[in-house]
Amino acid sequence: VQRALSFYSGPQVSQSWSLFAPDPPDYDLRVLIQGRTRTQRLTSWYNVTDYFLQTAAGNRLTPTRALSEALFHSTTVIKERTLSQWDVAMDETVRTSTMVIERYVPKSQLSAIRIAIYSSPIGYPAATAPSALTLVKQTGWRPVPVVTLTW
Amino acid sequence: VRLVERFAFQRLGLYQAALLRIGLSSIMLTQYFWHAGVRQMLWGPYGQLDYSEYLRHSYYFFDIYRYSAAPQYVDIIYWGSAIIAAMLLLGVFPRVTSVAFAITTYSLFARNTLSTDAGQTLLVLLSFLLCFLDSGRVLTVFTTRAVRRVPAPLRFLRNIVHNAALFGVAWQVCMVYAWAAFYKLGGSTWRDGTALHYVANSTHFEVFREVPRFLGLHPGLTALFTYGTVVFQSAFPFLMWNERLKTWLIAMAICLHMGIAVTMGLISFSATMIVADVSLLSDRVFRQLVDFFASAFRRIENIPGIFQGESTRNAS
Repeated sequence: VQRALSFYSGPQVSQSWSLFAPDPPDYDLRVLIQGRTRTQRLTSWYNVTDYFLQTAAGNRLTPTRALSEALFHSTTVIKERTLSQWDVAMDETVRTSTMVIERYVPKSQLSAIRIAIYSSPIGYPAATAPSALTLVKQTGWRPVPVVTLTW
Repeated sequence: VRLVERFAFQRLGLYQAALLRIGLSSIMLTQYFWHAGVRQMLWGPYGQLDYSEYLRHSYYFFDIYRYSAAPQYVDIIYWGSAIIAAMLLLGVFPRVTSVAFAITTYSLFARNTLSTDAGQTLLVLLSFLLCFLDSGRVLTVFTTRAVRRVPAPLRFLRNIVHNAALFGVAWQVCMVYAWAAFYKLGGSTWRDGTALHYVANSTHFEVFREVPRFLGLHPGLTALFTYGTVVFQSAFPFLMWNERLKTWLIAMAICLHMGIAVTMGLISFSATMIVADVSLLSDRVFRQLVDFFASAFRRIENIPGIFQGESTRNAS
C-alpha cells in the first residue's frame, strides 16, 4: 500500500512542477570527452553537447533531441549536486558521451574514456563574459562502456 | 443536491474524455514513430541508462521493461505499445486499451526518467486517469454497440467513477499551473522580470537565433512575458472554475504552449499541455464546436464540384 501511495511522489511521476523555477539556469553546460587508445595515444577532446546542438540545427525534428534532453538533465543534476540522482546522471552522461566519441573513433581502438563538464554564463556576449568556462566536473579514466549506436 | 444528482445520474464531458483519449494516444503514437531510430539508445539495455542501473530504480511490477535485458524484448514491448496507442486512438476496446496504454506509457518513460520532461510526467498521470473515464462513447471509428442494461447501482457507480476521473483531470491540470506559479514566486529572476532572458539565451532551448536577439533588443517585452507567465499560471487554477472566463483562459493557454513549442522546441510538452487544456472546455463550448464543424462540413459538402460533383459523376 505504501508503494502504491508513494507512486504519486516517486521520481517517475513527481508532482513538483518546477518548470524553470525557482529560477531558470543562468549557465550553459558543455560536455567534452577524450579517449585513450590501446596504444596509449590520447585523442582530442570532442564536444558532445555541440554535436547534439549542430544535429538539431540541421534538423529541427531530429529524434536525437531526446538523447540531448537526457544529457541536459544529467549534467544539470551533476552541476546542482542533486545527490538522489547523482549515480544515474553520471552513468547517463558517460554513456551518452561514449555514443558520440564512437562516431569519431571506432570502439575497437579505444581502451578508456574520460569526460569533463564545463559551465559558461548565459546571456553575455563572449567578449564581456565574466569568465569563459568553469570546470564543473572531470572524471578519471574509465573503461569504455558497451553502448548501442543506431542513428 | 442538483450537483450530486448530476454526478450520479449523468456521465459528464463525454467529448472531453474522448478528446483526451485521442490527444494522448496521438502524442504517444507520434513519439513511438519519431524515436523509432533511436529507441535502443534511449530505452535499450545498452542505451543511455544501463539495464542494471535502471533495475536499481525500478520499483513497480507494471514497469514492463524490467523483465528482460534482451534488446529484442525492448523491440517487442516498444512496437506492442505503439499498436496499443493506435488501438486507443481509434477507440478499439477503449476500456482495455486505456489500461494497457497507461502501463506502457508509464513503463517507457520510467525506463529513462532523465530523458523525460514535465509534459511526459503529466502524460503518464493523465493516462492513469484516462483508465477511469468513459472515453469510447463518442469520436470512435467503430460505432458503439447497443448499450446493455446494467443494474442502477452499478450504473451510478460507473457514472461517479467517470465524473470523479474527469474532475481529477481538471484538478491535475490546475495543480501543474498552481505549483509552477508557486515555485516561480520564490525565484529572484521571475520577480525581477528577467527569467525569460535566461530561458531564451539557453543554447539547449534555442530553436531560432532571432528570438533571443529580438528579446535582447526589447527588455520591456522580456519583462512583460515573464510577469505575464507568472500572472497567468497563478490565475488559471482559480479562474478556470468560472464558466465564462474558462474558454478565454484555455484559448490563452493554447497560445502560450504553441509559442513554447515553436520558440523552445518543447513539442511533446506543449502538445500534452494543449490536450490537457482543451479537455477542460465545458460541454456547451464542445457542443458549439461540434455544431460549427458539422455546419462547416455541410457547407463544404454543398460546394459544387467537391462532394456533389463526385456523386454526379458516379450517377452518370
